[in-house]
Amino acid sequence: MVTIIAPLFEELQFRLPLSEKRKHFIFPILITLSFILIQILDNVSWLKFSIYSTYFIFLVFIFFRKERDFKNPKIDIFGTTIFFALLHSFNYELSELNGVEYLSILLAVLPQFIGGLMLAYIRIRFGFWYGVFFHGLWNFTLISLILILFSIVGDSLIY
Amino acid sequence: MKYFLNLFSGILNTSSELLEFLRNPSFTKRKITKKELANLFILKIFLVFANFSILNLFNLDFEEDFKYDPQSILD
Repeated sequence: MVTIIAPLFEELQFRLPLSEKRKHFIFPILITLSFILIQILDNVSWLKFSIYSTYFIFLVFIFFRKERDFKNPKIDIFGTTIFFALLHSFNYELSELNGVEYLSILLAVLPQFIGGLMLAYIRIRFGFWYGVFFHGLWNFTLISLILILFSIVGDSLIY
Repeated sequence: MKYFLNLFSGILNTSSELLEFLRNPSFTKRKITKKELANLFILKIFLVFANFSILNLFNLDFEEDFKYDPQSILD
């Protein structure tokens, strides 16, 4: 799940639209809309709902911008990466944070921001599937390390 | 020693290409090499460790300050 499905969906949602072709916006828009719907139906988190909705508006914006500024994907790259990093902040218990702690979460999602920029580079320079592969490989390495550490140290690693 | 120097220069080359791309991006595709992919992977590891150092600088801890539970990934 973490090494195949999650990278594939994240790449489809955040990296596929980094393209000159407008047809590459179909999947990202559909996936984002379905996530928005899940937030509404399950009443999960309004913060998450707002971020997904803003990302949807951003996708529509870059879809129509392609006509005017076809050759410069800077806004596309940095915009999608910021949303990618922001949505990873939900890996943490945001409800228990307050004030400055809440802002400090931006430091915690810095690896996702930098990783997102790298994946954007891989997607544009080398192709979409290389990005999926790199993302999957990274997640696989992390999960393997965690599993190995758990098997060696056990629960004392966390508590 | 020569191997490490080659590896280090490869990572530096890849990072400078990445920075150049971010400074002036364009939709030009080319073939990736295995070495480049490996360099990017090692660079990512370096950057994650750099992030840990930044968090340490601010006395922040993943588990205590952000209530991060590594076990949740496995659930």
